Amino acid sequence: VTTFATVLTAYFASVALLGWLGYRRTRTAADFIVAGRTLGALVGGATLVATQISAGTFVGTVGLHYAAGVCFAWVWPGAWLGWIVAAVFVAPKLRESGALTVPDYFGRRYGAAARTLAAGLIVLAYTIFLVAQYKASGIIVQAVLGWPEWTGMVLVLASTAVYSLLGGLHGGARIDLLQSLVMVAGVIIAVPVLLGHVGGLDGLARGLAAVDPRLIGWFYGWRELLAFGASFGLSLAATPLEITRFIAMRDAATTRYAVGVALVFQAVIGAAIMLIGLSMRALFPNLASGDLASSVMAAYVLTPAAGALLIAAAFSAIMSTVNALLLVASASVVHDVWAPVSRLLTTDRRQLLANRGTILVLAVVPIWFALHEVPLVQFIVLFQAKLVASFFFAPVVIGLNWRRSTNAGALAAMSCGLVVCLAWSLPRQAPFGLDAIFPGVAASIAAFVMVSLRTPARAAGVAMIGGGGQ
Amino acid sequence: LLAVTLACLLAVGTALGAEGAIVRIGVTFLPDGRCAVTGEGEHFRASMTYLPSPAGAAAGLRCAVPDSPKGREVELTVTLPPGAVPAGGEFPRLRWSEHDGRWRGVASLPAAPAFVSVPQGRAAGPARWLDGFAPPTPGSAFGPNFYGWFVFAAVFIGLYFVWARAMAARDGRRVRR
Repeated sequence: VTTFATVLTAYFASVALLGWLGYRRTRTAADFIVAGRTLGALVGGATLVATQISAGTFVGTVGLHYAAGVCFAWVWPGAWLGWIVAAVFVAPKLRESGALTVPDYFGRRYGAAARTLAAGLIVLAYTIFLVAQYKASGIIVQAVLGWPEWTGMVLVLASTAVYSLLGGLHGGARIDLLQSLVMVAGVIIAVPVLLGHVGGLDGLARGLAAVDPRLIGWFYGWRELLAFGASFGLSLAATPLEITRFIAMRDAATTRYAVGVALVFQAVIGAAIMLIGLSMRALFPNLASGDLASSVMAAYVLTPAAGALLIAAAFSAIMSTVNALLLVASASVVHDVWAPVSRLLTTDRRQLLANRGTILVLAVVPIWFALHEVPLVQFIVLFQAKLVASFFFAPVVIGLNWRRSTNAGALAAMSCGLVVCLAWSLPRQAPFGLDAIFPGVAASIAAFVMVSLRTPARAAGVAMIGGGGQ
Repeated sequence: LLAVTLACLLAVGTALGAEGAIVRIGVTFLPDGRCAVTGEGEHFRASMTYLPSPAGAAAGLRCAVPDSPKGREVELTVTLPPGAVPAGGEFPRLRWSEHDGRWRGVASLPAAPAFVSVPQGRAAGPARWLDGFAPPTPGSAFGPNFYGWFVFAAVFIGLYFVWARAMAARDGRRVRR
């Protein structure tokens, strides 16, 4: 416990220091929300990967590799394609629009009603996502230190809320770089130890085959893998969480290189996470839940220092995602819903204050949900990814590239996507064996196209995006 | 706020292990190379003796652990033969103490491990971690979905950087014009 506490305290102190440095650089709402649009390729790539890699990866993906074996790794290419779509079709045009947030873009492009709806949906989806992050931190702290789950949740809440509400994205992006490096170091140190224990790749394959031969083959069929990959890919292409990071980068070329940096980070972490999940199944075949695999490894397999580093890596993944979620959700509330209708928030200083207060409120609420029994962490992450893809993919990705889209089309797309995705998720067995992501996105696209074509087009000469032309 | 939270957590951080039926497993490495395993708990009892495998002997002391019920906590006790000393790198991690000239390691685990391993000699050194990366033999059970993933990832990322570079060059030409 002493080694763990020492390493984690040093880690949290470094995070607090970077958060304070970010606080000193934050002067305006644009500094707070998009770091003054100054991020370079390395910090930008690190912030993309740190935002995407979350509790779902360190707890949930390890757990799914533990439960389902090798084949879950084929979900990663779906996420990579999502990023490339975002880098090519979304980020450059959103940057041109001058919007600070995704609802801000919706307001300029589709009107005030779409802006408010988008902001509300962001808060809903990201509250669900935050529940997964808090739950994972509770699981880790309980498994490694033997403390109650709520202590882990409070630890993440306190540390992340502090640096989020102080430093905004200026602090958050630099902390993301630190966290990405900690994540890579944590998993890279763990893999040789695990492979040494199981007897190398040959020993690992033999051990897994003895537990369940499907673990080294295709545990999931192509339908399930496609659904997982599509959930991540379609949501990453349009998720406000990542788009805010794109907007914060210096220019289009920086954005493209940042995506490349993120791909490298993610491939290294993804490969290591796969080997960790597989090795843990060979070493501990009968854990109560796959979600426990990474914490059990840290506590009972690695040396105390390596275990503590891995836990710091897992906390990095959780905290960077919580930071991004809080910044995006609070900006949606303050910048996109509150400020346009309030006389109170007329100055940058007041908006900053409102952002910080909102972060505190949004950070606390999901704790209540996380204290209840919830499904596997990765399934919560997947559920919010499906929701985000179902209501944002069409109006963001298609809307940015299709001049004929209209305000009514965007509202219809978001509403239909949300309703169909939720309704499809309700039955225990998915209708027709089809995952909710497909009907959700399909309904959203269909509604977007059909309603746009049946409603009056914009006046000729109005800029397709941004610039205050709407 | 951060400092106060950390201090409070450290103060209240008492181990609160989940209550439930615990399985007790004992692994005793015998002087002739065999290992005796006993296990007992609610609805669970096991007693067996394993012969050493020639391949396993090179890596040190290694003994299989019988399957115990899923998710049941395990109190594991490992006893080394007289003269054997724990040299680090054991699996799972154990707390060691010496009793009557024999080393005994204990651990409280959330589930039973597949085996117990206590490296001896060279196997306890750092070279062991390098051995973990030994290339797989042609008869390895991993299929193309495992190795194919690594190849796919490398090609995918390589092609992406080629494209990003070409786009940067195109942007540069546009700016010059």
